[in-house]
Amino acid sequence: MGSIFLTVLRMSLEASLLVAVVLGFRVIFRKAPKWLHCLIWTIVAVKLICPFAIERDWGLYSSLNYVIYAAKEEFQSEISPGQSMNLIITERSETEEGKTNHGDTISPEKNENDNTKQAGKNAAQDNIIEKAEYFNHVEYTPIESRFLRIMRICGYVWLGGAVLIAAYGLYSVIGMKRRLADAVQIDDRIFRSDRISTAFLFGIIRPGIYIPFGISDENLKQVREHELAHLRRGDHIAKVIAFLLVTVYWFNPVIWLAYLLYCRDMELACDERVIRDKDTEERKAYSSALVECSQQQNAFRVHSTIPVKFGELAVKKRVLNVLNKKKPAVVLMITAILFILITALLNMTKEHEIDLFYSPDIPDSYCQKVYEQYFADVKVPEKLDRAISEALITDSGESISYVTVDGKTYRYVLFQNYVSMSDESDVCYSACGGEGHLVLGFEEGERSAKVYLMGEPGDYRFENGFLVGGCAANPYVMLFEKDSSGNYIFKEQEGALDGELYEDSINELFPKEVAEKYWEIYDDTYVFNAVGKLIGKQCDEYAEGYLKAIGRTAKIKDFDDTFVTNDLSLSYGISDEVSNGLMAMYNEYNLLAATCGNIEVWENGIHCVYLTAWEGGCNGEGIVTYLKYEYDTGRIYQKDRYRVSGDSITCIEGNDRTDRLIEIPYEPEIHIPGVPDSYGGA
Amino acid sequence: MATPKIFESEYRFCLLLWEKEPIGSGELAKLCEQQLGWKKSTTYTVIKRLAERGVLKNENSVVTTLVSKEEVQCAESREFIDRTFGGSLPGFIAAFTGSKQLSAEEADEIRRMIDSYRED
Repeated sequence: MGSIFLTVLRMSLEASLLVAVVLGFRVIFRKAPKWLHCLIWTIVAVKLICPFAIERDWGLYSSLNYVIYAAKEEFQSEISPGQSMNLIITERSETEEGKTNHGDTISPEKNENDNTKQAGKNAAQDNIIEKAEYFNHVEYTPIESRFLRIMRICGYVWLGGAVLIAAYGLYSVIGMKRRLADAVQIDDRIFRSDRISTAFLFGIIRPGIYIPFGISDENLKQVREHELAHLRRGDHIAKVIAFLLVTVYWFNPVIWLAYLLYCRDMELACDERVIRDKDTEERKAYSSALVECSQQQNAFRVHSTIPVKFGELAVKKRVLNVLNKKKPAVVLMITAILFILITALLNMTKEHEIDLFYSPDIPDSYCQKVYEQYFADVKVPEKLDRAISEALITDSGESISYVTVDGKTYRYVLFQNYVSMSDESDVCYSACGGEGHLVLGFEEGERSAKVYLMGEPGDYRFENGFLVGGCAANPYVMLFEKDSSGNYIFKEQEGALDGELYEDSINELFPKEVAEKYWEIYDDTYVFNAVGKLIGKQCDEYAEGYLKAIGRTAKIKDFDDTFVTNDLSLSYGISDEVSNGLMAMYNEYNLLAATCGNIEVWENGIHCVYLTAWEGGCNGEGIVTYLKYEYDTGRIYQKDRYRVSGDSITCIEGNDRTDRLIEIPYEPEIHIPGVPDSYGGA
Repeated sequence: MATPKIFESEYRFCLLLWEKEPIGSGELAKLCEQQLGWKKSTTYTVIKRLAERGVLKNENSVVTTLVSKEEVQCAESREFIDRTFGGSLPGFIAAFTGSKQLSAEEADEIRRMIDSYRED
């Protein structure tokens, strides 16, 4: 609901800007025929109806998106009250090291009493399995940010309002239908009724013109002509659409204003249509009819199916419009039409959204375009392409494996079996790897091949149950040797240098043509990001293959933002003192020392999960749990819990590491001569 | 009992009735469908309404009038409008749009404007 409302909000804001443009148009081209005013309103309608637009490379609304995005960011960085990633691990995991004597499942309450006594013993097999299953099913849903929660509530309020207005509309239509039941038909589609005060057009499929009995025969002719003009212009349908839009965008006063003004322009345009071929006398007669009818409160106008009776357009204005209507100057018409066309063009299309933070949302269609423009015509032999893949993977010290699932063969690169050669504890964070590359150009000789490409090997790790990782689009030159059977053997590769040397090194690395192509890609953020996405996609295919190979499902992501939103000090308000203390106590948890979430690692080949949980609100008071367990068996290696309050940390379970707090070693900032400070800083 | 008041559409209906009475209600409904564009249910509703007001009587599905064309008094349609759906426009919207009836002075002014208008 929140996201729907956000879309509606965004659309209504964009349309509001457009309404401002239309208001300007109405002032500048006030002498233009009013059907042009109606025409430009239709652009507003389309903008409000259609959430999508054809894409283009330039646009109007990026700054607006930025404002919304910035507001969202600001909200998100605020503390989320009362919400925590509550894992409820505490009770359940008590079963841990000690339920041997109780063969069956132990209820949490029972547990509390005797867990300490049982500690240290081997767990019964079934308990272990039960636990393993439990942990494997722990779901980490990121906390809903305050912004999104507010948006969700707003969404329901919005929906409620829209339903109310729609219900009112429906109620009025039904009432009107009943009221018109005894209207007397006097001609085809023309009825007279004494239960209405205004002439109008009513109905959608078979619209009828309803005229009050009170109107004199003299004025009847004018009224009929006016309503017939509405009918021919299709105003009865346009007005229903306009009303529906007001129903949806009821919260935006600008849209109401637009509705009102549109209704006025519609009347004026209709008047103009009636008097188009009439002489001065007939115009005067028509004007008089307008005055007569409005004095009887019977000013004729389109009523359509919309029951909301807005004020009569000032009769004087309508009369003046009718009497003073002259053929508009050709220049005025052309300028006005041009203005409308340009407005339509600007608004029916959409720029590529500039994502100021990350660029995962580049549409696939655009990526395809970029591919076709820069890479499609580089026909790399299949053997060479495979050799590039292998070379990139080998660079990361692994090799490509294959797995066939449901008749489809996937490539994957296994990282998790990484076993240390030394006796020291070795931790492998990466579960799997991959690579992605796009070839900018290549030169092939009898015995060798030189490839210019963008790409990189990548790696993935499990974070919060997601498989997180990817690779970047870096420029490389690769050298291959060809053997007698036409196989490519990787010899060496060279990448570009960083910093100030980047430009020169690229120009040195690549032949002129390739370098030019590279700079074209590099200089255009959209294009560069599109290339990054194409390469990232290739890399993700390896990750997908890995998941198939190990028979696990997980979402593959570029990065996991829960680590940002679940920071203990930012989101839950623990003091800097406590935060620093926890980091010193549990530095092997890395980021998780002061953030909720979990990370899977392979420690000396054993698949372990590091998990940090927070139970408490956002005022910095609560219990933080550090849990380390084996993924497959659920065997718990470590479970330390601390009560955190203000600046104090108290151990309530497991090993007490607070002694490590005594001396937090002071680490001076290291300056390496010749290396700028920003170097290496993420 | 005072002369019953009838409204314009009812008057049109009565015109048909005076011409054809006595008439079966089914036939009358058919006639109204052709002549007035009424649905059958509308005709029956109007018959019932006018019977209650003493304009006609409906006995054994035969409809006859109780008053003559000369006796009947046509009601002002304004009265009907005011009574049945006066103030249907929510006040806040009315205030928002500044909708108000044209005053006599304003109307006169515009009329003068129209009269004096000449094409340049």
